[in-house]
Amino acid sequence: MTKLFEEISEALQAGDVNSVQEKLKKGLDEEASPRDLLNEGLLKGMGIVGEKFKKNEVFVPEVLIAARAMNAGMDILKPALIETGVESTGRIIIGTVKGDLHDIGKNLVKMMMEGSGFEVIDLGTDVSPEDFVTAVKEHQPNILGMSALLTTTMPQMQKTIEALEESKLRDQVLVMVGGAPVTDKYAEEIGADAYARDAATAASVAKERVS
Amino acid sequence: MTLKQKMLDNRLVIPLMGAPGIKLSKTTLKENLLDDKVQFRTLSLLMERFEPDGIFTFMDLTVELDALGLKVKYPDNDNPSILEHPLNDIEDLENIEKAWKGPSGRMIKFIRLMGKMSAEIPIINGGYVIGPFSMAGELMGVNDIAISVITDPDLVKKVLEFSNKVIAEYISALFDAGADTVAVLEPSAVILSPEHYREFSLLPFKRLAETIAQPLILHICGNTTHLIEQMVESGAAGLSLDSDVSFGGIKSQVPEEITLIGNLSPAEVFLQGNVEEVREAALSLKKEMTGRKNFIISSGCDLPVDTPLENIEVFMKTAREEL
Repeated sequence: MTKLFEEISEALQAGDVNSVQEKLKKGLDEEASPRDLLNEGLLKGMGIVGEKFKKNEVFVPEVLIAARAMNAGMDILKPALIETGVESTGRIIIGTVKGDLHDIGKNLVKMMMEGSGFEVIDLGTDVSPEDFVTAVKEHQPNILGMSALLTTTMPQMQKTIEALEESKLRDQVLVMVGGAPVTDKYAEEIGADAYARDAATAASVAKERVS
Repeated sequence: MTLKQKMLDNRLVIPLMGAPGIKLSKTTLKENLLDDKVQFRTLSLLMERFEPDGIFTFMDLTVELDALGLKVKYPDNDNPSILEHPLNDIEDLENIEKAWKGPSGRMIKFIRLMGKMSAEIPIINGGYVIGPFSMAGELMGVNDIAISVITDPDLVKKVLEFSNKVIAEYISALFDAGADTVAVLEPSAVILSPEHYREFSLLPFKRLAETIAQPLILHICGNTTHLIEQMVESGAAGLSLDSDVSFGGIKSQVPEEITLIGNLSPAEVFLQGNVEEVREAALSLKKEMTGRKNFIISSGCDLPVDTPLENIEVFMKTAREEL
């Protein structure tokens, strides 16, 4: 099976959707454990992509096609995973703040988080503080991640934190922020718990803080 | 001192500002983007207040897409954004190509504005256009184009060809109206590997630079350190680089006939810093660039709308001090 896991990881890194799906089906047919197919195949591949991305060896397009293959793989694997009851690293709610339609950065973070074994609930772009609060109530995540590309939408992060406080939800969730104009200093000022400069760092910070 | 002498002496100070001027003209960003008379007044006030050596129009990455009929959202005091990315295949491209009838829509306002600036503002007047990859990215959606450079490069190249046609015609019209330079804004290119950058952004830009006789500036936001080696081949007269790039680190890679423009952080320094921090950042950049020919001290990107005016003031003053 080790060879098959390796092949899955490689197909994922190359972004080869068909190959990833075929190999996963083959693995399930041969009764490999869904957890191993996930951890030793898909997540291992995604982890390698993330590392290479951090080191500027691959760039956004390569990460996006790998993530696409990851999603396609999960379509095959998910039913089997649910059946065997595999636990995720943690649950994250993520979104780009109100007034902001930029999603590349947020999508990269989502992929890196998934690559680290998190279950990610993506609220999309232009997400209001109220919508973040509702989602936190409903999904009870470990982490709430907010992204902003515009200096004018950044203050929405603070508004969301305030809305969490008002709803008495602030203490139960770790708030992470990021995006081009966001800095460590800004994160601290608005009372966020963590800031990450890029997507790969976001995933390692999240893992560190949750485990 | 004439501009030419200042240029030779490395004394040009040109922050990329437009939006912070709305406090001076008591207008909204939206009003400035939709009405060239309002924008001219704002730019005149910025000029009077800060006396830069050059001024650019407001940065607006939606003008070209707007001219093609794409839906644009204009918040009162934030940059506009494109609400739809309608191009998925060749057929869509053919339809969009039909929508292009030469400079139109808000391009007309920016061309008229450039004419008035050129006639009445006696400093370097700069215009902006979107870059080919960024325009193609708005047409297709940035996420989709990023995937398509790998999965469907031929489609991306055809979209780039069309984007270049629109951009070239608009650039020519801005120069005809009296622009001294036009900066090509290529923010989306920062996501590409050096190899993909060359194929999908640098080569189209080179073709623009070859067909346009006047000086173009190439601007890419974010950390472009991995692309500098290629950007110097672009044929651009100037490279405007963001604050993530260390000028001290890359200046030896950029031949001195290419003007380096930048690069104090618009967010961390200009927007969130206090006057002391702006002053320190400007001094340290000046020191780093001592002896470099063809350097224009500036911000790494467009200054945000809420930039404190006193920060721009102290930047201008510090930039002009003797070290």
